[in-house]
Amino acid sequence: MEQAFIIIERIVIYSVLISALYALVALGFTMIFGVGRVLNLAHGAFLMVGAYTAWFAQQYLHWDLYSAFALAVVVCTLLGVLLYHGLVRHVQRSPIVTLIATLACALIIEELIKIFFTTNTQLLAPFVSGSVEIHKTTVITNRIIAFGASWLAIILFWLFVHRTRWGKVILATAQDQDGAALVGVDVKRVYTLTWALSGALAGIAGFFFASWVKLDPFMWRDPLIISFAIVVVGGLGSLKGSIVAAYLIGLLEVLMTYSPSMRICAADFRCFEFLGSSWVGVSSLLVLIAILFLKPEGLFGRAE
Amino acid sequence: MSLRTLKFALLGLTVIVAGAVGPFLPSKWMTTLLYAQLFAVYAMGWDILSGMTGQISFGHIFFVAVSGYTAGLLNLYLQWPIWATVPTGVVMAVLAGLLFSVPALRLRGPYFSLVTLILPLAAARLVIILADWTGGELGKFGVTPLCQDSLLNALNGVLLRLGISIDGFRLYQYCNYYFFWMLMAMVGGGLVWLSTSRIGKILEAIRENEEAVEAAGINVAKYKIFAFVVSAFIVGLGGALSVHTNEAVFFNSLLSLTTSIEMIVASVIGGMGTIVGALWGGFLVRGGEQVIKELAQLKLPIGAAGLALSFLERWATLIFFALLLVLLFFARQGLLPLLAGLFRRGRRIRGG
Repeated sequence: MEQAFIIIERIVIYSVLISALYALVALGFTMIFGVGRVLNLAHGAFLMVGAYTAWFAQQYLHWDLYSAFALAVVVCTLLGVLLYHGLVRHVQRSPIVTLIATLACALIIEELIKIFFTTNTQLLAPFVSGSVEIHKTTVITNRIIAFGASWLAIILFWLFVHRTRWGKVILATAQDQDGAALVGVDVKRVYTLTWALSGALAGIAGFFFASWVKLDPFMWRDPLIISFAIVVVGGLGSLKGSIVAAYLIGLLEVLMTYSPSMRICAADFRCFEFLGSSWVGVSSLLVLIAILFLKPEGLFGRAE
Repeated sequence: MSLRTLKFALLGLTVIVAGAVGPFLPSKWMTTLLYAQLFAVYAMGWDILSGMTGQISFGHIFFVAVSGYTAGLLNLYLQWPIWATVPTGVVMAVLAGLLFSVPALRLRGPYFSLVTLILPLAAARLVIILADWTGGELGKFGVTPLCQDSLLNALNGVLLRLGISIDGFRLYQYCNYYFFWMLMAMVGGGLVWLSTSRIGKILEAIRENEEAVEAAGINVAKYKIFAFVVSAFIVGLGGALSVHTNEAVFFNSLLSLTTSIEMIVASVIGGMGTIVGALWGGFLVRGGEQVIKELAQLKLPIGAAGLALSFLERWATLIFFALLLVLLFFARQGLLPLLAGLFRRGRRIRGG
């Protein structure tokens, strides 16, 4: 009985921690879609650029972590603006072309990282090393920091959107682009701002995502899938829905890790594991596919 | 000349050229063109669904994987012969297409594309989980070859009677090459016919304005499902046969996201929805990759040590994706429509 409580406690703590990071990962993606109706398939690649920038500054320029982190955020912000002005602005009218173009960008970034940093796995040093004990659960300290930073970023973002003038302009543009333009909003500037913000959020998320997991040229795929899953479950473009969805998906992934797995073997001793930690990524993909088919407008979302 | 005649003429020309150059190809290029033909089949299969109806699939490699892994694993573990594995693989791909198409009809535009992107990623995870059977990312060797010894011996006998003697390896290569040549010709012919038939016109109309087609009393869902099934059939056929040519199930050839996107690149280069354009695009992509590899081994006589082009090899994939971006910007219509436009203009000038 005692044992069961410890496991439940552990699942709760771990899923609460990772879900905050997932919400942060999806935040920039949701915003770009909510405001401009653009699905940015390069979002995961943004995170990867942030992670590699921080790693590069640390490893080769011997910067301290805080400067490396700041550099990652700045580089990603610039990348967001660059992608918008260099590419998305010109193809935005056709959603399909936008999808192909942003996916091509993600793959180009993957290739560039393969060329310059090889396909080897790299590790990003955490802000704080070591671990702490919460009740009877051991938690890596850096993950608590990532949790705090994620929530801080989410709250600051919310305050910016709802409490400042520019935030309200963004909201207005999201609601009705033509209406906003009519009352004198410079829609292009609003888009530039949202892409910059999305880049910055991706930079922060990328840094923590990398220090949570690892760096390699394929790391952009998981955050992108997580973002999809979250915005689809939460309804595309809804912030509250995204956070709830992030917690659902985080919980599901952690549950997968701790679920009793079944090892199924054939007569010739070839085996595979049914459920368990190797199914972590699969479960969210399958949930995503199921929801898209059953309820295309998302669990909490508005119908498009 | 009607559009159909023009397309058949262009297709025929391409097939004849591909067949005629065969005997003159060095071994390396023969392999390249063999895979170019396979890839052209994939690209045409993609084009009949995505190019024609405008529902862009990012994950057609999923159907290659379903069919390829089915055929390969049945052959490896149950020793099924080729005439059983390939049809079973294709049937599985068609079933997957059918299963997927019915709910996918509810999804429009970008949402549809999103789901297609997710399918191969999910499949890749499953292949890794089942690594004991599939060999995971490394793959598994030992699949029955497409050109078995008995067939090669028979071919050799025929050739000897004609007074031609070829060494064993070359014969094996020829056998594979012309097998896929025939596949490409048949698939190309069938799809050009289909795309210029009444069905093709309806598919194109769906791309331009789905509501209008619906309003004309045509069952859009039926045609979309049909396009889906044809597309999965063709891509699946290529996938199942490729497993037997490679004599192995390779993760990288059956489930690579890059190949999936390259199908889009090929079709965009050649002209989406034109079939023949996708075929050309397939050759340009695979041929271009080989050209880049060849260039990478050259040294230009510039400077003291000569400018080594070896960096090109690593940049090949990147160059293609960059090219895709450029095309999306400047030549979204692609090669074939461009040529057809020139042709029409020329005729107009001559005809006054």
